[in-house]
Amino acid sequence: MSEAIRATKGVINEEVGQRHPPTEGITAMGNAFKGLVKKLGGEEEGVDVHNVSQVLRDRGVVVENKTADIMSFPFKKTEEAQRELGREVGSTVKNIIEEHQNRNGNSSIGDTISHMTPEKLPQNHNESGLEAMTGGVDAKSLREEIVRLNLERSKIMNDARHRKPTEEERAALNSITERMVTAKDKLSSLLPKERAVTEEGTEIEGVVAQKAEEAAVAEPTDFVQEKNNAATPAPDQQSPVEGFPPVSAFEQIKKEIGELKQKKEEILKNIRDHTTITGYVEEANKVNRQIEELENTLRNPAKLNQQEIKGIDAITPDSATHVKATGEIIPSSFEKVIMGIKSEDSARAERLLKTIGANPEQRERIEKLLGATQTFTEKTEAIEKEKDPWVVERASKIGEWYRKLPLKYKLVAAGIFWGAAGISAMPAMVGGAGIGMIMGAAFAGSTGQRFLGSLAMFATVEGVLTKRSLARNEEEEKILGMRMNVILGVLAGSGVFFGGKLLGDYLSTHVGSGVGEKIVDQAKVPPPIPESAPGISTPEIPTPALNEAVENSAQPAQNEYAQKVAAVRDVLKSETLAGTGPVEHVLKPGEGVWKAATAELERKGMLDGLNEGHRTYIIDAVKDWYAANNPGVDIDHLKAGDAIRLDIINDKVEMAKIFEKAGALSPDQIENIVNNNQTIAELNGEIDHITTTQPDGLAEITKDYTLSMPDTGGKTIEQLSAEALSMDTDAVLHDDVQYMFGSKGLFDFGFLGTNGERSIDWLDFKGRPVSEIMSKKFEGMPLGDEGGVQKFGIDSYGAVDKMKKYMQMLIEKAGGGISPEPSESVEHFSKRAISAIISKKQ
Amino acid sequence: MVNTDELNDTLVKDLGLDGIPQDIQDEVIARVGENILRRITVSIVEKISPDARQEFDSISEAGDSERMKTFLNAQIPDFDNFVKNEVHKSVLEFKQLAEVT
Repeated sequence: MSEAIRATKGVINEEVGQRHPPTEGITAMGNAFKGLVKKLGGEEEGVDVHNVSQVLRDRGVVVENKTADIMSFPFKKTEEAQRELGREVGSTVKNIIEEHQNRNGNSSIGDTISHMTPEKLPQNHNESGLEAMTGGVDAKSLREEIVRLNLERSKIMNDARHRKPTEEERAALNSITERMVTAKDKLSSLLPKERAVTEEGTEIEGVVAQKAEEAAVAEPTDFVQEKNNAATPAPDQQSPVEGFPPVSAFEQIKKEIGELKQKKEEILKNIRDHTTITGYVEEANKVNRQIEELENTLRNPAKLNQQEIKGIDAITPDSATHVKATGEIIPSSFEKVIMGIKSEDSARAERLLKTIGANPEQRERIEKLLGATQTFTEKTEAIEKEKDPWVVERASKIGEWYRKLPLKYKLVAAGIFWGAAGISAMPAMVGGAGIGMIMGAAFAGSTGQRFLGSLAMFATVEGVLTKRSLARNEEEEKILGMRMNVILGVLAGSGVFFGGKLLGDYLSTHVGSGVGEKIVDQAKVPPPIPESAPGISTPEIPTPALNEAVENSAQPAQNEYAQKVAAVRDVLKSETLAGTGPVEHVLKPGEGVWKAATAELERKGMLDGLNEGHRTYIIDAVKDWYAANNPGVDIDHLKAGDAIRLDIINDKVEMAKIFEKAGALSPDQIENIVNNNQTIAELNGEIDHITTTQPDGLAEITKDYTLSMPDTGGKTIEQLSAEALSMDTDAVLHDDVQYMFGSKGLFDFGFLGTNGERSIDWLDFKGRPVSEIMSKKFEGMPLGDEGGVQKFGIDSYGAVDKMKKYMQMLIEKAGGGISPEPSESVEHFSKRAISAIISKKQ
Repeated sequence: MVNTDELNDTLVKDLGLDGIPQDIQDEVIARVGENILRRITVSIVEKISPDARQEFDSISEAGDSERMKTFLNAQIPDFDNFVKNEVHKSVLEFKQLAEVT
């Protein structure tokens, strides 16, 4: 084009007063122009190539009564074109114009480019254009034709951007594609003469040639891209989740470039090794162009698969704008995070995006933080990749295990990690023990529930859960809500309020939500519920009173309360709700319905932390249920080996009712129950259902350690029958550990007390050599219990002292020279000694 | 009794998460936790002697977390401190990445 324009001699377009630069003759482009005019229906003869715009207007190609000024048109107009038609096409045109200007000074390329807009082109222009170009035209003309075709194609695509392209448009696009391929082929046939393949495989052609070629070779990418834009997106393109992931697009292109470069090396080798190299040269050129195309695609966002931009668009519009404006292609770390979340849980991704915040500062912080997690992940992956396959496989397994955990468990783990690192307020011991537990659970592939069960003894875990354990599943929330009300009712009914808005919110949300009816529907033949425990009445569920009381409560222990709320929820979820089907219990020696009920309820954690009054009420209710549903059974004459069914324990609705009623007990009623228990025990000489009380001091342990077997109610070995002594040593140890390290819960109220065997102290001690415990010394005098800082296990003065005395007691009672082996663990020796003690008594 | 509110607050502050929505806090904490776990895992598994690998897998398959913990304690001297150090390094690295001071 510039050749054509340069051919003019300062022709002034009299209509608009444009001056064209002087030229010495009519060039190939002029000839091409003549050919074009001829095809338009005119005669080549008489065509004034020095007044292109006039000719075009005469032929109906240009309608507007103006032409562009070379000095005012190109850049501004081209920038607009860039926005409208896409970066790649626009920049190509711009570069061509620049090149013309650089080479030729002032030229009026606008005569051709600006007016050869697609809508002004003749229907059969392709034929005319190409024929004109091939009829003696040079490569430059072909390139210009390719640019023009690009413009035409872009125009069609722009028109169809928000709708499906019509059949005509599709046909036109296909035609354009074919013509571009033809032009490109012709161009390729010319280029080898001008190109030489070097070792580097690249020869720099003129800028215009390069740009035109880029436009040409980029066509397939652009074509598909713009067609995707215009057409209704296919399902797999609508989401980065299901479709072609943007990151993969980038990686794929990089991979292809690598492969092409390798291929080029092979071709170059052939060129060196052979005398006839024409074919190889052509192939090398082809590969070079492919590489250039792909590299341009990587550099130019408009060329990269549109899905990449779309994926970002769908996530963060601002970011997408940024990407388009800056040309940055690769999603930021933050965007990768969002896309990753979206691929797993699109609703969560949406929710996160909505909370990112309106103010730029917060948004920036969030992007930085989430982006850092992505970088952190990539670094972790890099570390893993360096390891041997066996290690990698295990690490991968752990990663999968973690990812499958519900969010709250992940948060628990993170809290423990933080504590272990000594960064948080969490005591180091908790962190260390917690991490050991996490690792054990993780490597063993424990389920989330087991994992949490292992950790639930940590107050810190409860704390982590407190703020973060609200279930998001509506159904789950409803069921848990029902159960929570029951449990919390225990607190309220006992006159113990810890206060806090949470309970009020909770109850106002869930009470009367119809959950009860739904659960009832799931229950099969609900058995009758005992209306009362001995000597007490059972008031109705005091929900309004509970709400009011909680709202009005100003007790200072809100944090503890909140912890318990979370912990109870988890217990309910992991234990109570997990049960289904019949509950069969085979009576052991000395067991009756009461003890069987106690054992089953405890096994499910349903009595954890409850005080004696509530425990008694609930156990008694289960016993009464059994009696009511087994009228032919004399419950006072059951014997060891009898199997009884306590199915009510797995009946969520009925157990909820029992808990509700227990929760409604007044402090006086609870006190009555406890007194009654004591009276019964004194009268009958049996205390089998009185909860063991926590020793107040260590002296009690050393004076008369009970070896309190389960269901023996604290009887000493001497008091037990030989039959009872046949109980296994595990059971004895279980009860002893509970006696030493179990807790009755907050304020001795008994809410979520600790299972002794799951206590931090016991978990820490059990695997340690007895010798380590016995030789453990503490420097200085402890201030209070632990010098003012809560410590556990081997670091705890009190716990170690307890353990020492227990070991000593076992050694003494076992007698017969039984003593710990040098490396024998606490747990192993305890069982060995207990077994010996039992044997002696039998 | 550990002051759990303090723990939560400390965790959030440590990560520079104060003042941002809880959902985002949760996401950051969970992702950091995963990475820490994976890094600890690599560090631990690397320490397991080749002779003990079969036992490790056996315990894993059995799903016995208690036995696993005992095993790890036996395989890695001062296991708790070892893990703590690994965690500490990871935490610091993340804080640097997040430019959290």
